[in-house]
Amino acid sequence: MPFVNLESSDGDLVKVDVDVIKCSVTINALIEHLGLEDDNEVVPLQNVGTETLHKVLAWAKHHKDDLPSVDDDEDDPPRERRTDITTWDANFIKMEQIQLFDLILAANYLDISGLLDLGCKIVADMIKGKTADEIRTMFNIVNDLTPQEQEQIRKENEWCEEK
Amino acid sequence: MSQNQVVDKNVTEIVPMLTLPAEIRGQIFNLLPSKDATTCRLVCNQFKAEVDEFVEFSADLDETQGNENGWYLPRILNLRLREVAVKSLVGPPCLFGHVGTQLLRYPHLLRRLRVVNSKISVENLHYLLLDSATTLRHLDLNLAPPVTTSPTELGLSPDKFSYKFKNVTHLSLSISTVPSATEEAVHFVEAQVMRGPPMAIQEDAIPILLLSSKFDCIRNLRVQIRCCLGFRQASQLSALVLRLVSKSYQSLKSFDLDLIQGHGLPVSEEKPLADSDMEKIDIATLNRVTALENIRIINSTAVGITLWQNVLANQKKLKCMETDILPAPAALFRQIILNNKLTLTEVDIGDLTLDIDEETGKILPFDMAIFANCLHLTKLTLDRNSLTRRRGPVQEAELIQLSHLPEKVTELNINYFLVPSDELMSLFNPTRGLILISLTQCGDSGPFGVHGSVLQKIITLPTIQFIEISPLNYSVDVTESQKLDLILTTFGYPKKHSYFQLRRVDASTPDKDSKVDLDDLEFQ
Repeated sequence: MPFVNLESSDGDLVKVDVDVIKCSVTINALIEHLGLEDDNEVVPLQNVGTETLHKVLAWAKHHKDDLPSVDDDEDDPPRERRTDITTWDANFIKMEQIQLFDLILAANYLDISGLLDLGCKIVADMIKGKTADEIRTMFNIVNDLTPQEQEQIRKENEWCEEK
Repeated sequence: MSQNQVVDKNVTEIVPMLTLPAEIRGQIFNLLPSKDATTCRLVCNQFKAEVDEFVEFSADLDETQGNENGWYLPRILNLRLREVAVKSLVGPPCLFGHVGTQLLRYPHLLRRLRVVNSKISVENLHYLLLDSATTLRHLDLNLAPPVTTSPTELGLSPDKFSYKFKNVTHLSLSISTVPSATEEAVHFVEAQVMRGPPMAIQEDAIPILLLSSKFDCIRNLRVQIRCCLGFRQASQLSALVLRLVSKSYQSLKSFDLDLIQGHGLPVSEEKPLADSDMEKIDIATLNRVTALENIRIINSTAVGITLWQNVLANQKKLKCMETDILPAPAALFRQIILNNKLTLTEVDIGDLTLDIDEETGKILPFDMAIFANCLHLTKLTLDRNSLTRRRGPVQEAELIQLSHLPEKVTELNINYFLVPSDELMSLFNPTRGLILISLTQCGDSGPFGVHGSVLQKIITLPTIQFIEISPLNYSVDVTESQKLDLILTTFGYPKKHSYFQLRRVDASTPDKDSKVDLDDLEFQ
């Protein structure tokens, strides 16, 4: 079975079954582009740290037999319903915020749509039901809106307040 | 170098959420319900700008909603709207702050439009459709006769409806004159057309009939027509639906039709469509519709019924089929079952008409062995035609070879067929995984129907969760009658009761937790 060596931004080498990492469009393209046939060749991943890379690989291994996700616009469910998360994924994604955002960045860089979707769903779940204050506290965001701007935005938001 | 590191060097405190690329935050905001997405606008300038740039909202259009700061609608029409349900939109478009025909600020983003139980002027509907025609994917329209206005009064001639819905894959069309369903429906049809004496629907006044040429890539078509139909209207509306079906012959996977006569009208005679309507149907194209996966045809008029029968007979990949057509000849359904034996999972045949032996005039039973090769079949409902269920003095079996039903069947409903009791005995084998059994009017005397031993077999099926049987057969002998009474009284029914129902909440732990341990029942 073909393997590929991935080099994390920390300089660590990780040997991976090509079959496992095929979910990454970026790595697939790199393998194709570099024409890697020798098991000793190395794919450098400048944007992914070792810890995050291991997390990505754990997810990829668990999902390697998943059917390719069809972008099924046909049934196009209303967005509130698109938040189903399996138990395995829910346990997998339990991590510190900083790790979670690193994982999302890695999924984005490696172009792994399933993992990116999972990360986004988790962050969306973190936001749901919270006030603006709570969201700022959670993400450590500074409020740079003036009171007048906030008043204006509140008025603009009123259309969906009663739901 | 990652953005993370950049932030690390430049600010004292890391804000990981803000290190994500804006598009990813956009993706996150789009996963939020509207209320939470708008709350994010209050977090900081960056969030506000990104919500406004990326989020596509789902909203009701309701001109009656607002507060002391003003109506909500102008604000909503300015949002990036992906899904819209119209509640009330009868004011002139200029009231909503837009010039010309455009109601929505970003009409090209709209994917779903639902106009059901809505108050909307034809004019506003026209503008909504016109603006979003090329991008809409789901369209749900409820149309009804007008009360005050017609499109022509508004100056909307048919050529104004020249747009096509190039991307609509899901169309749900409801045309109704039944008052309860139509009070708020869009008034598209001349009032007198569907009330009073049947007359032709005028095409120049009514965009309904023009709709058939506007779609050609529907995957999922659902049409509900509930009207007091005369022949002319039944013919026109049937032709409309058949044209919708044939136009989308390359894409159609699911078709669902309710064509229901209004109250109090006699069932139409079996007649072909009017010639003028037949001319509009391309039969060759209609015959190319062969790959439907789901079909449901509930048609209470027999006008043009052979066309619907042909649509059914042409299918080769059906998974789910539900029909209630008149007539529903057994031979047609045998053909459908054979054609689709590899794919069928759910079958519901209403009003099945049994064959009659031409020489003897006797009714020929329906042979369930036809299902033997339907290896994926899980649900089966057979309902016999009310007109042919009259029985003479000599009772004959009307459903035979039940034991040939495939093992995967978990739900079985049989209504109005005389079924031999010994067939039922052989069917209700404990190795089967039957979960639901409903037997209505399957015989209550002689060798037919559910007697004591049959009921005993049914209630002891290990997987059973629901049983409904009416009537029970008390006519066999004393032992069988005693068995029935014992079971009935055990489950709280009076003796000689003709109806039995049992619901078991959790069949995975059957006998231990159920109120009655069936082993304790003493038969004999």
